[in-house]
This record gives sequence, C-alpha cells and structure tokens, in this order.
Amino acid sequence: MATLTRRFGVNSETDGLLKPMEKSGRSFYLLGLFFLLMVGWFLYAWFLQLTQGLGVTSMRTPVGAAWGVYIAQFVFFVGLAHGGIAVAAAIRLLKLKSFSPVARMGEVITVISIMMAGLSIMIDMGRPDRIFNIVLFWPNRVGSSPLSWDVTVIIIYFTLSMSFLWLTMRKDLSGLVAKFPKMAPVYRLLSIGYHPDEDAKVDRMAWWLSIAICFLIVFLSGGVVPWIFGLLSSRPGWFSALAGPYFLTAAISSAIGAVIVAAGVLRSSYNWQDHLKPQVFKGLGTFLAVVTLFYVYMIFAEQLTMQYSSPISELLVSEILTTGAFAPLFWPMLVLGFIGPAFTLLAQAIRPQWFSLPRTVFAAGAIVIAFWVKRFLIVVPSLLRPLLPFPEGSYSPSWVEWSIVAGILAMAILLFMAFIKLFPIMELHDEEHK
Amino acid sequence: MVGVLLQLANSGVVSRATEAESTGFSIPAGYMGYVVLGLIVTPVVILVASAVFGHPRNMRVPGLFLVCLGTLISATVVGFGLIGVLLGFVFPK
Repeated sequence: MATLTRRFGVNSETDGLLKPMEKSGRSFYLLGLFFLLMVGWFLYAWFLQLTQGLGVTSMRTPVGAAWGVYIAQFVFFVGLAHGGIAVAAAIRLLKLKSFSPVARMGEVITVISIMMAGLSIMIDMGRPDRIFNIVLFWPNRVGSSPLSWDVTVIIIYFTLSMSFLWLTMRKDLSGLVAKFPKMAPVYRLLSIGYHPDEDAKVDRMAWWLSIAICFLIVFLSGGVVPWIFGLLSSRPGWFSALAGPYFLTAAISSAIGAVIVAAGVLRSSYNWQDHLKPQVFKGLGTFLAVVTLFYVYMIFAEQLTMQYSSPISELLVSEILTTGAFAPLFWPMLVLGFIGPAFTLLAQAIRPQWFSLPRTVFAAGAIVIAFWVKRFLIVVPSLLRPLLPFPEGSYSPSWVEWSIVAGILAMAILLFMAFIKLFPIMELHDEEHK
Repeated sequence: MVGVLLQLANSGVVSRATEAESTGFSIPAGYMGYVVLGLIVTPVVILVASAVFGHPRNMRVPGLFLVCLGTLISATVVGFGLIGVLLGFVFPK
C-alpha cells in the first residue's frame, strides 16, 4: 500500500479501480463457471470435429458453403481487434484525456480478439495439425498468396499490440507488487527494470507506436483481410473494390460498440460512475452512430450496384439477401441492428436531454450483434451461388459449429474476466493525474 | 439452368494482359506479395524505429520493448509448431 501511495497517491479514487482485483462476488465466479463450462463443451465439439472430420459441420463443397460460421467469426474478431486498439491509439495520439479510462479496455479487447480470430481460422482448417506448414512454406507462398500476407501482418499486429499493452501497463504493475503479494512475482516480471524516469519515454513511444498501429489497422482491416474476399474475381458478392473500406468501417464500428458494452457493464458492476463518466459514453455513442450510418450507406451503395445492371451472378446474390433465403436475417440486421440503434444514438447526440446510458449500451450491443450477422451474410450467400454449373446450395450450421462458435465467444469473455481479475483494466496513473 | 446462366454471365471476365499486349510496367503476380508486405512493413519499421530512437533518449525501455516484441514473435512461431504437434496426437492415425 505504501508503494501504491508513493507511486500513485492512492486515494478512494484510484483504490476503487482495484475493486475487481481485490474481491469478486459470487455472481462473478458463477458467471466464470458458466463460461468455463461453455469452453469445456466447445473443446468436446472440437474434439469431435478433429476426430470425425469436417463432415460433422454443414460446410460442403462444391455444392454448398465451403466457409461458414467459423470464417464469419474470424472476420468478426479481426474487426473487433482492429477497432479496439484503434480507439486506444486515437486516445493516446490525439491526447483525448476524457476518454482515457476506456483506452486499456480497447487494448485488451484487441489482444483477446486477435487470439480468438486465430483460433477461429485454426478450427476451420481440415488439418490444423499441419498449421506449422504456414511457417515452413512461407517463403514459397508469400509472393502470391493473400492468405500468407494475412498471416504475416496478423502476427506483426498481434505482437505489436501485445507489446504496446505491456509497455503502457508497466508503471501500474510496478506499483501493485506490494498490494497483491500472491501476484507479486508476475507483476515483478512484467514490470522488470521499471524506473519512474522512464515514464516520459514510454509516453513518447506509445505515441509513435499508436501511429504504427493505426497504419497497420488501415492496411490489415482495410486491406489484407478484405482482399481475401475482394480479390476473388470468381466469387459474386465478394469481388469488389469496396471490400477494404467496407471491412474497415465495420471493424471500427463493432469495436467501439464492444468498448461501450464492456465499459457499461464494468461501470454498473463496480460502481465506477466517477471513473466512467456519461460524457465518455455520449462521445463514443455519437461517433458509433456516425460510423454505423456510413456503413449503412455502403450497404446501400453495394446493393444498388448489384441490383441495377450488374452481371446476373451478382444480382442473384443480392436477391438471395434481400428477398431470398437470407432476407429474414438481412432486414432485421439492417433495421434493428444498424439503422434503429444508430438513429437512437444520433438523436441522443442532437438532444442531450434524451441521453440514457443503459439505452446507449443497449444500442451499442445491438450494433455489435448486427455486425456478427453481417459477417455471416458476407461469407455464406456468395458461396451458395457458384459460377460453375453446380446447383444452388444451402447452409445451416450444425450443432457442432454453433457449439464451437459459442465456446469461442465464451472463451473471449472468460479471458476478459480473467484480465480484470488479475490486472487493472483502467490506468491507475491516469487517475492520479486527475 | 441457373448454372448455365451464371457461366454465360461470366463470359465478360478477361485474363491479365500478356507481356506483348502490356504497354507499361507491371508487377509479376509472383512478386505482388513482396510489394504489398513491403508497403505495409516498411512504414511500421520506420515508426517503431522512431519510437525506439526518438526523444527522450533512453535505450533501456526500447531495449526491453524490442526484447518483448522479439520474444512474442518467436513464441508465436514456436506456438504454431507446438499446436501442430499436440493436435497430431488427436487425429486418428
């Protein structure tokens, strides 16, 4: 405590931030147990898939969808990963002090999401035991394979994000050694060589690294990942120059939504009303509304192009979405998931007296769910309409696929819960400055 | 029927211009990845170098940062190998 007091001037303000690390209620552990059981179920489902093959899924080729919910989940998590740290980087880069309480949340969401994205890809592979071949044959493939570019940039992105998170946590961890003796060896290891003189250097490094990360995000979420889809000329619905901006906007929107939801839940659970002030939610909510409406505009632009005078294959994909088998998903997603919540958030921005924090969190949650559905609608319908002379396919995920998808989501939440139990989710030294 | 229509619809797709038809500089398909990664990685390396060597001068923190970065990259690559070996035991022989 003495160390904490000396380093951060601990008072009721900063001490409140350590609540999740000090004591957790029964509901926290029950929730943890629930998610742990879901992860156990996921492992069982994956074991079945590994031992019996991808036949236990509903993915089929050549008739049907060769990619399904696993790839939709991968794109969803990649989006969360990019947007999460984009929020944190923007806060550090533009020195948006009032938003700094959510900076670390964004960084943690990024690191967890990128791991879950990698796991989703691995699960989609028929023979994930050959995963090391990606490294072995990298020199032969990297020249021409967008998938190799993807793996390369994602590894750079993951390691840079993780190092960035560690760098900005060192000061906090060094101050927690005395307060949490059980975790002291871990904190000591992670804050190895820490000296208060380094703070200015760390701040400056974080500033430069924020630019590097923002640059990577633009090229990864707005480039390499969408190019996996957008460069496939044989696939109607995917081959589009719009793919990059489309994916980038989705990434930023879904991540801001996730940050709002995480901040809202933590604020309510730990009574952090003094730390997470309504203006944080107002600001993020307004930005989310604008970006989501821009995304709706891109959906409109895409569908208009596909419906107006495009090749028949494009028209068929558009019709399957808007009036066909996927219409019951498309329209609720568009109206209830994007347009409704976005206009709700926008109305709150225009008339501040209408602002409601639970409504903001609810709207953000709806947008996050809608973006998951959107990723499914990007991946699957195009695959059901091949250009080759095969009949039209169908795809409805099997229980194994749903179990795995739910288990990965549970694992992501479980990792986030573990992080807030073991590490400060908000910057302690930032509260000290206030 | 739909399949035939789709094939007909795809007749407009043209192949890449051959060298004889090409009027200017073009990147060979096999080298596209190096260009893409070069464009992405070079600025990132420059920005990380700015973080490391920029003011205020302090070589201890950047040193630790680079060690962390290197360790994580190595751990990821080793992790790929380890996961592959472990999953090898699960697959039926």
